[in-house]
Amino acid sequence: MKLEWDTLSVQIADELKEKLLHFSEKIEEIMKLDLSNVNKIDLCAIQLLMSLKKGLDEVGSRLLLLNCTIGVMDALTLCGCLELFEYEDE
Amino acid sequence: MSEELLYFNEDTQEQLQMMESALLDSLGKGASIEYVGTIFRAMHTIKGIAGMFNFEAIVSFTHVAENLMDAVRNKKLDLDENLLMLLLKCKDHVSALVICAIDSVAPSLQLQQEDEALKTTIENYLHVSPIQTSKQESLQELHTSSNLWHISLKLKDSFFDTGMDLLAIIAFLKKLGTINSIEPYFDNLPFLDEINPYIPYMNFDINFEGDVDKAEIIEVFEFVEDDIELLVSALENHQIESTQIAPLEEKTTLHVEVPQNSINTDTQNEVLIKSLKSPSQSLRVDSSKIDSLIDIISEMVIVNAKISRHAEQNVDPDLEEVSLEFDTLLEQLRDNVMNIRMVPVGDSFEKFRRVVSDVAHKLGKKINFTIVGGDTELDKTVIEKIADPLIHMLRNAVDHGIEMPELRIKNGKDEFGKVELRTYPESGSIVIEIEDDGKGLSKEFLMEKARSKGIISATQEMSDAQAYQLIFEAGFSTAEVVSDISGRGVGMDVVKKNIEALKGRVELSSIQGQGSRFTIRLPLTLAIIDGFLFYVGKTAYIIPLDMISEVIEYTSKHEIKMFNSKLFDLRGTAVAFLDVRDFYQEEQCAESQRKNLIVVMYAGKKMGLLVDELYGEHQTVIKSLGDLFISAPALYGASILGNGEIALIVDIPALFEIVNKELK
Repeated sequence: MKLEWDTLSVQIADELKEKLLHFSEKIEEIMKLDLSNVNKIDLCAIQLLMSLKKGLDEVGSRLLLLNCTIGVMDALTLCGCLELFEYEDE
Repeated sequence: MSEELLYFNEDTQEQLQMMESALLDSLGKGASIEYVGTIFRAMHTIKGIAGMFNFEAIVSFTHVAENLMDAVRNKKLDLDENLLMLLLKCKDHVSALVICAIDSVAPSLQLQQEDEALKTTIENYLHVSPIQTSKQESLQELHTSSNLWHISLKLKDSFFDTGMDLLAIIAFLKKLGTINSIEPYFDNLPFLDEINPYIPYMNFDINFEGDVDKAEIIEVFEFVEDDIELLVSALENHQIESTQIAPLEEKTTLHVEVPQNSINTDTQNEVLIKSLKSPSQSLRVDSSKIDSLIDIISEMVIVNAKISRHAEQNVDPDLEEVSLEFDTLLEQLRDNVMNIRMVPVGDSFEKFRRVVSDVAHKLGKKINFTIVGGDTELDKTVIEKIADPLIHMLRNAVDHGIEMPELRIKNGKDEFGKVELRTYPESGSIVIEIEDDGKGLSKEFLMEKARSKGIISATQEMSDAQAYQLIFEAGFSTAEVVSDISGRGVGMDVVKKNIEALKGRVELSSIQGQGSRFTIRLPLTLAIIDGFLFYVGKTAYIIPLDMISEVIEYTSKHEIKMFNSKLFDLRGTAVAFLDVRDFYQEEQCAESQRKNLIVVMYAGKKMGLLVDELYGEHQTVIKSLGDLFISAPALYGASILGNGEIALIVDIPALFEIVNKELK
């Protein structure tokens, strides 16, 4: 699934949660979340990604973040979460 | 300008204003710990905000200026007049850098040179350090010297409500040094279907290295201090470990605990920031949105007047009642919205202190400048537009009014001249006074000057009040030596015009040798007023309700039988009156059953207006008059009534002027 927002922040927290819930409904071995459109992400959104990952880990599925922009990578580095996710560029 | 930049601008302006006030207070009253703290905090806060926006030029300069204030705070430097003047220059420089940042332009060459020059001066100050005192015990804790720090950060449930992005704060922390490791941990992070996205479940342990003290680290988080629990501890070198971020499975089960074994347990080195104040309930709104709201309310007032008229004509009591209720609600809505526009004058007037200080400094005069009634509220637009005229009058007061200290002492006065800016409400108006205890003005001097300039004829005589008004004539200059401070005599007529454009009045009174006083009267608002509707002949008129003292029936007992009398008897007092029919040359219509006198009050004086029919209170939307009425005297504007008719709004202060002239 590809997220279309440019900025993932607390301002769209409810919509993002809904979107991620929808994404997590159909469980696959590898769940790919495309963040190529996302240039900015805040702690609230990172927390939602962490929560998503926690749920997927629970059922033995892997979350793969695709095509992360520099903005996303910088934000994940700043909050120490960079190594908590798996990444791939397509 | 983007919303973020707008906030940046507002915040920095607020801090700069606080800094300037503290600097001027220090100049006037002497430096105190409180002022030093205010100046330091303002500089530091600007650095912090600018850092979040990556405005490097501001961060770089404020960092150096902050070091200077830190030296003062640590009693290494004395905050004397020279240093205060340097800090005022620093404040102006930061102000210029902020403008560049907002306009997204690089600082000009001149600004860059100024930047370098100021930094060099500051560095020189820091190296000279005339006062070498040991650090006080109380400061030791916050200024513990260490390069290595452990920061434990727990976010409260309210954190996301602040609108602050923690990542921006961490990014700013990074500018002060190196983040050796940052370890997130989770306070029972829920699964996605259970999570409340507005509550933070993440907390952080940060190992930080930098040449900073504890206070500096704490201040990085000061914008969110109410919404976090912060623990900052100095670390010994051996306690630093290269921390690997642990797998999520291990971390998600952790509760918030400070890893005591990795921290220096010296409690003196632990600072817990506690909530000091409740979350702000204020909301920033672009003033144009409020203007737009007032426009809509104005239109609604007019539409409701039409509904009321329709109900009356068609004898529809139900609709009439609904319209009446709606009218009451509209009135409340109008008052509430108008109140949003009303702001205390004090915040804006604070900047005048700098004007007075600079002019006094330049002229070598000593001034005690005070602002009284700063909490008086006035329409924001009016405050903005009145600023320039007030600055001009204050400069005049210092330049032309207050004498040099030696002369004041010789004349038996205090060497410090007094200039006071007073504001207070008075019957529907706001009065602003600028009073000085300087040399004052003599009527003879003003008249002689006016004669020499051809403003009045050689034989013309004038009352004191009329003579003092000469100062507002174009081209009139009272300065014996024209200075670059208060212009070349082209200012006061412009001042008067600007005030009149705000529907205000200005007058001067003076006593030679004792001082002068400018008095400005301004309407409370320029948009909607509570009016009083009356008719003379077939024309509707409105006057501001709060200028009405009383309304009486005019009978023969009120007449004062004198030749060409323009007075009436108000319970034993002779009061001037104006027959509105004669004044506006209204056509004579069928003799009215009753004549009414509306007694109005302005600047402590009363006057009666002889009118025909009284209609009472009326919500009045003020519209400007077209060119057609340009020659009609004493009209403020017009308003549209429910039946589509135009009602003329009478300018009471102008009417007083006319009647006073006629009486004289």
